Amino acid sequence: MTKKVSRRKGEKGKTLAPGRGKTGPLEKKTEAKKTRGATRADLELAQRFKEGDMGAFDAIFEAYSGPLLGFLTRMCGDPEDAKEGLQDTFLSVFRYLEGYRGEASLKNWIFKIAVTACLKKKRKMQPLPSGEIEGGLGGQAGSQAVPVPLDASLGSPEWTLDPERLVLDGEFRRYLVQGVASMPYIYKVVINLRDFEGFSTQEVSRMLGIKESTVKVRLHRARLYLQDWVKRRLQVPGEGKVEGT
Amino acid sequence: MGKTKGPCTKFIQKMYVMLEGGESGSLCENLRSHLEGCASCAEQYRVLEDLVSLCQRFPDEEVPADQKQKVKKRRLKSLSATG
Repeated sequence: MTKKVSRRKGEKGKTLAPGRGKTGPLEKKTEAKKTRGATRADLELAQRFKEGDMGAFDAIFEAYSGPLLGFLTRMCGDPEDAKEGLQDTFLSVFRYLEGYRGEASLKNWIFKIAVTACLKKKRKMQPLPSGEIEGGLGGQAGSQAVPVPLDASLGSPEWTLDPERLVLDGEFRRYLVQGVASMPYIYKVVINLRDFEGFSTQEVSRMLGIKESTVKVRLHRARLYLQDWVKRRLQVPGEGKVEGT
Repeated sequence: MGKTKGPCTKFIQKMYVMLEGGESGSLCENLRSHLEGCASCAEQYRVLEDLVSLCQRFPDEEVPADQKQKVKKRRLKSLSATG
């Protein structure tokens, strides 16, 4: 881990990232409600890069590689694939940063590149189903045959989460990463961006090119899925007791 | 342990709205009053709330030291390829 886990992402981090503050990459995630434009620091970094200052690129790597690797690991489920995705993303950043005009924050722009990289990789592996997926989480996902515990939300949880403690448990974190990675793409990308990375619903909608209402539906279903995934880990079979409390 | 009554289906979607800060005052009020009287829904809401909190606290991955070098190598390779 690159940061202490006792505080939210937005409040931690050793290095001062570009654009840090209200709109920086280390912003408190729950405060993200609207689309953020480029900050002055974003524009300055881009300008320095355009003028040939490779230190600007290094600063961008320092600021965003940690969050991006986390995002990609949860998308891929495999650490090696995630590292490869990280390199691909930064190679694209390097190629296209010259064309960055500051319409979105650097963070949003870079994550959109990462999302595109994930989508390309996914399309190579298996074709995406056409049209919107309705109903259950994996309902008509076709090739994305994933056990879908949608009705999990209808059963009593009978267990307790302790976010402060669980997030410190490396084994549990790996389990949660696998839970996210096991979802169909359209769900995991939404929960990953919205809940884990703290983008607003509007930002996720713009990044993915889908309606805000679709983001909300997918996020809700993804949360219910993840809840069931965690439940399976925490609940001791037949006892109703809980390991995670 | 006996099976307990699950949360009420019609309130599940409303929980999402309230978790997001509430887009409709009356809807949230309606859910809040329901949660006061329904233990299953109250439990479901608390768990969802904790889950979101857990995701928000999730730490970033530690980037291995060699990744920066690998990116640099690929960057240089890309530059030399494009001339």
